[in-house]
Amino acid sequence: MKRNLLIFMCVVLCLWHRPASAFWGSDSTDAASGLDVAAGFDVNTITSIAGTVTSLPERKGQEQHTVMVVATNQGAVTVVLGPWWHWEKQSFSISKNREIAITGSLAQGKDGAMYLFAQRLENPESGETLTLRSDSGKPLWSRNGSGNRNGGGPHGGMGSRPGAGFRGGTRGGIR
Amino acid sequence: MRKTTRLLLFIPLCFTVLVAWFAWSAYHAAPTLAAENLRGAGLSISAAIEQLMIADPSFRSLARYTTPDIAYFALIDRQGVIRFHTYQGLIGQPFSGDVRYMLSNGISEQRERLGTGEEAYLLRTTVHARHNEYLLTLALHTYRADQVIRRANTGVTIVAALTIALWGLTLLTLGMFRREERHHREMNRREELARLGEMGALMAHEIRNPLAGIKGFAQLVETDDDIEQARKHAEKIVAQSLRMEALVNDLLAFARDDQGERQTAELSEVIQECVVLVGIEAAAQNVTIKVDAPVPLRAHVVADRIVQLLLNLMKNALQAMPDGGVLTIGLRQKSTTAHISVKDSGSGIAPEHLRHIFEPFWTSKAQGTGLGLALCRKVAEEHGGGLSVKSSLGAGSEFIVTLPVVK
Repeated sequence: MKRNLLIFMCVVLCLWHRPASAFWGSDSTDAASGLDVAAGFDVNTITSIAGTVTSLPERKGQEQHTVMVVATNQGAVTVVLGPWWHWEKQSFSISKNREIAITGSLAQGKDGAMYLFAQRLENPESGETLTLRSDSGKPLWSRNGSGNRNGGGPHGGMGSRPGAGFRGGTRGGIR
Repeated sequence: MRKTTRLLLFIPLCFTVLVAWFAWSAYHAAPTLAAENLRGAGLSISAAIEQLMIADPSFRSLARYTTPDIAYFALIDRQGVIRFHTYQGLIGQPFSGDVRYMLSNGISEQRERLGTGEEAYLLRTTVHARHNEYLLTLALHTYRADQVIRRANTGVTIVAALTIALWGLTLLTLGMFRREERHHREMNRREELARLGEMGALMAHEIRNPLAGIKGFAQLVETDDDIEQARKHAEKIVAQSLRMEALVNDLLAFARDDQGERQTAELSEVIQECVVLVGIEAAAQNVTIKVDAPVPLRAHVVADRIVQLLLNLMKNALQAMPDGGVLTIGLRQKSTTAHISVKDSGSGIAPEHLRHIFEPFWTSKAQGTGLGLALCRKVAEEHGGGLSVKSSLGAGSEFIVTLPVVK
């Protein structure tokens, strides 16, 4: 009886094999969204949103990246503000329930939520702005582009040119 | 493998195959369905964009066109210049890909990972506006379309979990069945051993009594000078020997497993044969025998064994009517079974004795072996039938033999 049960369990395990992965995902991929929270950016999806801050910036995940939530007309958007250590050094004031305008690269996570990789933040009331990335999307917390895998821009490669531009070309340029 | 085990395994196996097929077909069809959804959405949006391009050659109105599924879209002219992009910062920028090749290629579609890490559906197609040809690059979010894949995955997971649970329960039930079976066998074995011991004691008792008589009379023969007296003692020895012989014969008949060759016999004829055999004894006891067998019924039996069975019952009935009475033999068909009843008008059997009368070596008679009725039931059961009794004190007893009839 026990032998049969063990054989059955072995068969189930053999049939149900899946690629091994850590629970927090691989590389800098966020487990919940499936997005590259540490280095993700795509110039093609740059957009601007305006809304009310519903959740103040906080540290999150293995990558210790900073996120806050903004309520917009199109629904809640999780804004990714870069690494926590960089955010801590910024003096840009964010208050809950205050209006804010953000420009950045918009993406939909595998959890269905909208994420915005912030490029520039603006306080409409005070006119205060904070730039986190260059126009091409290069993060300001990375020196000379090292550690920035989001470089490139509109010329950052076609689908037929793997290996160039943003995170290897196909991920950053116009496709 | 026993029937219950086979059934216990067959039902979950059928369920597993059915459910696995259903889950697999849903799982297999889901990516195709998602791709079809995305293609349909992509082509609809392309058509809408083309209409807007025709209506507004400046493409300004395209900036207001948006749906939740669009990640971005761009229009590139034949010279490789981006004429429109949802991110206006890219308008007027050169496009580094081979636009002419892409334009000639017609529609192309693929899933691609964007710089954000999001997997998007990328559709490239040619659109026309005022005699100009443009390459439309359209990226769509896949979350909504992939809902079918996620549902299929969830379905497969649930089905697998349920199947595993079902098999777990099945194996558990099988284990319990087997344990119960082992327990049952052990109980039977113990009961058999106990019965064997009891039977051994009873047999020893049954044999010891005549043996003691034989021994006593033989000692008398040994010492007696009177030849006439010795002859009388010898007669007693023979009588006791016959009693032992009858016991051994009954025992052998009871223990015998071979049923002989079966033949289709007319049951009313078998009854008549038995009636003839007990007729003289019945007449001597002033017992009237009535036979009530209105319809001919045939059964596939060993006729000698059935005669032995009925004779036993009839002799028992005669012994129950020492002062005369009526012995009624009936034959009726009920469904596919023949019912042979042997009914006497004797004193009946006490209720406390009724539950023991079919047990081997149990007897209420002074000279009985206690094997007669046990043997009768055994013979009836060997033929696929049975033997039951109805009795009430002062009204007599009725033994009913059931046998399967032959059409």
